[in-house]
Amino acid sequence: MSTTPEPPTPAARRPTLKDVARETGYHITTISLALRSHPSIPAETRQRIEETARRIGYERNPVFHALSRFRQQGCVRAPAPRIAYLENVGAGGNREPHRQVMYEGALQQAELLGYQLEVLSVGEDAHDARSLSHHLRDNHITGVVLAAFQPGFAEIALNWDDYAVAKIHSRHTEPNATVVANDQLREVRMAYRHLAALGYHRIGLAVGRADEDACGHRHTAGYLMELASIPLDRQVPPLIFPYNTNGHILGDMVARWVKRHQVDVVLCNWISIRETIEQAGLRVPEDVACACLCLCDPASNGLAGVSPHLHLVGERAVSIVVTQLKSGQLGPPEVPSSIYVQSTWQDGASAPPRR
Amino acid sequence: MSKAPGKTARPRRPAVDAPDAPKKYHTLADIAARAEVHVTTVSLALRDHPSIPPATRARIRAVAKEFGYQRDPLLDALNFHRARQHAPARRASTAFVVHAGTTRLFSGNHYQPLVYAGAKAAAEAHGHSLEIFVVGQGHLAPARLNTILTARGVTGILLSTFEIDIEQLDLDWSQFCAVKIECLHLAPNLDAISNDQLQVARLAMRRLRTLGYRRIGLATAREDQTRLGESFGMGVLVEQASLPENECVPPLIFSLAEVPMLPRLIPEWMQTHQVDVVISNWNELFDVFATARVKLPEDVAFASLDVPPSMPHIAGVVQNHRLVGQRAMEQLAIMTDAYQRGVPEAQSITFIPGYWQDGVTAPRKPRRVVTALEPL
Repeated sequence: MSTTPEPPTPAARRPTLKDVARETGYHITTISLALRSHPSIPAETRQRIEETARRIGYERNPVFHALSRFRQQGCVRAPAPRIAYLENVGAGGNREPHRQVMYEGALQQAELLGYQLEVLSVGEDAHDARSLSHHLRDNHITGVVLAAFQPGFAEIALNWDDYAVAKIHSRHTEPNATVVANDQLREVRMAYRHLAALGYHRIGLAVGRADEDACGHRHTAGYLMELASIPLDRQVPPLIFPYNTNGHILGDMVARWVKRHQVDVVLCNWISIRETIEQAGLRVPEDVACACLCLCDPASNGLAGVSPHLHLVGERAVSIVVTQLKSGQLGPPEVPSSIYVQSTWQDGASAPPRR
Repeated sequence: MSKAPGKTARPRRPAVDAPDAPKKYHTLADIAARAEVHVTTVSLALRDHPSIPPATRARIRAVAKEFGYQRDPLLDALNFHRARQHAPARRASTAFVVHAGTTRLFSGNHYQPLVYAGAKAAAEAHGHSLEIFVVGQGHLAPARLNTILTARGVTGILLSTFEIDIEQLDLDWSQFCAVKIECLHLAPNLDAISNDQLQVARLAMRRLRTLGYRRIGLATAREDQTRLGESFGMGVLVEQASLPENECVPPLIFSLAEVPMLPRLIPEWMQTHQVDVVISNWNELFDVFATARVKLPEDVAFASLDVPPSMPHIAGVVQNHRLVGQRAMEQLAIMTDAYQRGVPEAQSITFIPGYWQDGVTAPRKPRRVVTALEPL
C-alpha cells in the first residue's frame, strides 16, 4: 500500500473557496467577498471569479453556510437544521400504525443527530411542487425523506439535484434515490415457511396492488418462488386487490377467494385482516386462519405474522440523508442502492398449529 | 483526570448549579463538570466508546439528558469535513476475511478481485488499511483468527466468498464491527451488502424482450440459487407472471455434478422449450455451446447475468462488484466510527443494482417480415 494518500478524486472532494482562489490568483477573502456580491469588489473581477467558480463546480455547502451565519450573528448555537419528512397521504388525519412507527424512528434518529424533522404533506389540499420548493428554499431545508408515498395519491417533482434524498418504499415515484424498506420478499417467504411448518397446506397471499407497486412487486416475488417448489394442486393464485379497496369490499373479495381456492390461511399485509375476514362472515381461525405481514402494533390481539422493524427503517432513512448533508453530496446517487431491514416471525392465535 | 501539566490539567469548571440555570446552551464541559469526569470521557461515553464502562456511560447519558444536551449537527458537519481533509494519525485496520476453499474466486474471470479493489479504495479514502486473512482448511482456524485480530487491534471485519457449505463463522462478534459481502446464508446475521440479483434477472428479461426475444430461458446452478437466495429464479418468475403463457420457459437448474453433461442437457432443454435466448450467470456456457456446436447468435442468443470486464462485447447485465466492495467498506467505516460492534438488533441488507450492456451475443431480433400492401 502506498504511504502517500492519493489525490482526492473530483467526486470525493468538492471544490472550496481555496480552489477558486488558486485558479483565479486572487486572495481567498476576495473570492469570498466576490461570491457574496460585496460592493468592494469591482464588478469585472466579481464576474471573472463567478465564472471560474461555476467552471470548477464550486457550490456553497449549506451546512457550513449555516455554521458561519450563526457565528456572524453571535448566537451560541444556531437553530437546528431541518429535514423535511414528506408524506402524500392523510394530511391532518391520523397516520396508519405502520407509518407512525416509521415516523417515530425517523424522529428519534433526527433528534439524536441534532436535526429537526418537519412533516410536510403533499397533496391536493396540501403542498404542491411549487409551494413545497418555496417552503424548502425559504427555510434552508436541503434534506428530504420521502416517507412511504402511496401510489395513486399526489406525487411531487422537485429539482432533486438540490436535495439530499432518501426514500422509504415509494419505488413507484421519482427520484431514483436510495430506498430503505422492510424486506417484503423475505417476509413473505419466511411467513410461508412458518405457516407450512404449522401444518397449513393452502396458503394464500392477499396484498394490495398499491403496496405491490410501492415495493416493486416484492411480495409476489417471494410468493411465486415459494409456489415454484410445491405441487401444482397446492398452489393458490395470489389475490392482488385493486387500488382504493376498503375493508368492506376486501372482506367480500377475500371470502370469495378463500372459498374458490379452499385457502386454509390468508397471508395479508393489512393489520386489520382478522376483523376484515370476520366481518365477511368467516370465523378465524375455525373457517380460515390468518397471518399479517406487517405486525407493527405491539398489541396485535393474538395475530400471527411477521413483525418488521419499521422504526429502524425510519432511522436508516434519516441517517442516509444526514450523511449526504454532511458531505454536501446533494442529488440522487449515480447507482442508488436499496436497503432492506429484516423482520422476525411471531406466532399467534389467529394461525394455530393444525392437527 | 490527567496529572500531566498542560491543557488537560486545568482545573475543572465549577459545576453548574441546576440544569435550568440561565445558560441556554450546554456543552460537553458542563456535563463533565456535573458528572465529575473529564470532558474527553464525556465525549467518548456519548459516542458509546467501549473503553468507558457501561455503567459510567449510562450515568453520563443520564446527566446529558438532564441538561438537554444535543449533538450540534453543524459542528458535527465541520468535524466530518476536517476529518476528511486531514489523514488520521493512526490508521484503523480492517480485515478482509475470505474462505480457503474459495480462493479460486480470485482467479480467472471471477469477480472477487473487483470486490476487493472496491473495498480497498474505500478503505484508503476512510483512512483504514485493509488486509486479507484466509480461514479454513490449511489456513487459520476461527479461534486463531480471533486471537490474531484481537492482538493486532483489528476491529473491523469484511466477510466475503463463503460458500453454502460453511454455515457459520465462530468469532467473538461482540468485539468486532462486521459486514458481510453477499454470503447471506452465513451465520450470524450481520449487516450485508450484495448485488441485486433479482433486479439483474428482471432487467435482463425486460431488455431482451424489447430486443424482440420471446422465449427467454434461465440456466443456472442449484448451488448458485441456494447461495443467492434464489434471486435469479425469482426475478424470472416475477417477470413471467406478467407475460403471456406461451412466453414462459421453465428454467434449467442444474447441479454442479451435472456440469459435464451440460453440452447435452442445454441443447435438449433449448429444443424442448424453443428457447430463443439463454440467460445465465455461467459464462462457462460459451465453452458448452462450442462443444455442443451451438452457434451464437444464429442458433440461440446469449445474455450473461454477470458480464465480466474482460468480455465487453457480450450482451448482458454488468454487476457492480466494485461498488459492492466500496459500499461494504463505507458501511463498515461508519460502524467503526460509531463503535457499533456485535450482531445488530435487526439485520439490514443493501442491494446494489446492475446495468444492461448491449452486445453481439444478443442482437436485436429482426421483426417478422410481414408482406405489407403497397401504400396507396
